[in-house]
Amino acid sequence: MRVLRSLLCLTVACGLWAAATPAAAYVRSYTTQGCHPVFWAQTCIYITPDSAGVPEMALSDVERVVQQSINSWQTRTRDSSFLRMNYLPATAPRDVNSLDGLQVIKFYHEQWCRPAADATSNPVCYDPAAAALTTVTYINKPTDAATDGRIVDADIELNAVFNYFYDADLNPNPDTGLIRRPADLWNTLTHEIGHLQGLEHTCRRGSFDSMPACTRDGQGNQVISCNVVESGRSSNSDLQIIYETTMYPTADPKETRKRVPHADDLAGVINAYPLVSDPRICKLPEAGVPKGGCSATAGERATQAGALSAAGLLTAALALLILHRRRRAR
Amino acid sequence: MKSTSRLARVLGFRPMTVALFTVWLGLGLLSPARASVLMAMDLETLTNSADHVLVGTVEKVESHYLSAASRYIVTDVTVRSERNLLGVPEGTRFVVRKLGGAVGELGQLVHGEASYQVGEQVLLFASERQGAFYAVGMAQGAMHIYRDSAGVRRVGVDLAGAELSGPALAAAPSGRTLDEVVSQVQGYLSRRPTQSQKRSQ
Repeated sequence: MRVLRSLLCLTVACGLWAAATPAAAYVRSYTTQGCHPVFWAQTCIYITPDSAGVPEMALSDVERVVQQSINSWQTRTRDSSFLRMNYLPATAPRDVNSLDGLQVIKFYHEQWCRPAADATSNPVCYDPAAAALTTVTYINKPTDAATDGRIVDADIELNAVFNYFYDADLNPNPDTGLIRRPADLWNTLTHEIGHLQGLEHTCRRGSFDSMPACTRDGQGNQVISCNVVESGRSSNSDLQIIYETTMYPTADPKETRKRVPHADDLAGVINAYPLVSDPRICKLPEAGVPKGGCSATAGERATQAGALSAAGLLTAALALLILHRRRRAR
Repeated sequence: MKSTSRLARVLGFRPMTVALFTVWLGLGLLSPARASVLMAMDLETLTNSADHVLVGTVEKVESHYLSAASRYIVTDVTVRSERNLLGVPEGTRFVVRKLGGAVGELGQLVHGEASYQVGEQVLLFASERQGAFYAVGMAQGAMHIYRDSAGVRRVGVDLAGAELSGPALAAAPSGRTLDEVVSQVQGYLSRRPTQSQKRSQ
């Protein structure tokens, strides 16, 4: 009987331990030279779509889906992570700019090319195989671990020349024509916003994968091969979990299962940006300031208010302490 | 063919590239195979989409801004050709470009782009866009070559396109020999229409 009870306790303890084990299949993006994880060193980042949107969707639908994609992450990480992604309405035409600190979501539907910067340069046309590109710009200081990889800007460009972006909730079976491949915008953006926060794919597609060789997963292990995941997932629940992550590198046409990040995806953000490390920096970049408007958004004001109230509390506590000491001295 | 040419002009790509891409995309839509954010390409598609194919050694990796006015970084990779499969005579140098890189204190990461290390050997499939050559299918067109314990050169990629086809193919042994892969590429190249055939079409 005692042995049976011990076994039962052991089983329960193991179960509890397994449940408490943090998910760690996530992978963060690393810098290529210094091999440090990329990171945002600020509380708030601002995301806005180009007001030109995409012809097959009403701009109001694009705006709603962008917010849904942001909220997919934000509502699940906000209690444990300091990173705040603030949405800015699509009030102006936007081009991507790697240094303006504003995160722009831009569709290309005529040419899958970033326009030329000026009359002396050429446009940059992208590979037709890329459905979406996220470009993360960071500080490159390989010998300075505290600074290397600090993100200054991240933009998302979407290939609407070869992909038909739509909202599966509004239209589950869109007529995409012959050339274009159907892609649920919410599904695509939730994945890309994972990159924007500094997350890498959760498995490696063969040795040609572009992640630096030093890249490790959340447990410090080498990143698993996607072939291993795909061949073993039917008999191994850990591999199935990796397969189901939002940051898994493949997507079926019309797929919607990446709309909501999974525990491993969320763990990546929470471990990269824990609440205790909040830098309390929330500044709306110049590019995001509405023409002739006020520069502080609700998110920024909230954080500023938070910082002010913290400072106020500290001052009040100091004043009380001084008062208390004076009274005791008397 | 005329409509392909028109589409090619609009898209800024070569007519052949657009035609092949359209066929490939059509096949992809018809099949139940999974695609990627970077849509997976098999060896035949990579070969048929390429203007240049070679085996070579990476000699130089140099990042720079795209232009004086741009703050986007590209990296030019110089590869010395050791085996010419299409359009790059042996001994000559070929420059392939990739998006992203690092210039001074600024770095740029473009997910899905190819990576290159000085001194490594690559099997490269490249096509021209806007006056520069890029690996076809981004990371997919720059395959890394390694030597196994017996000294045999292998390509570290499942070239059957296992990523597309699910568990059965994904479980297939990876790391085919370079010679095997090269001969398969040569087979695909020999079936491609020549320039004169293209003109007569």
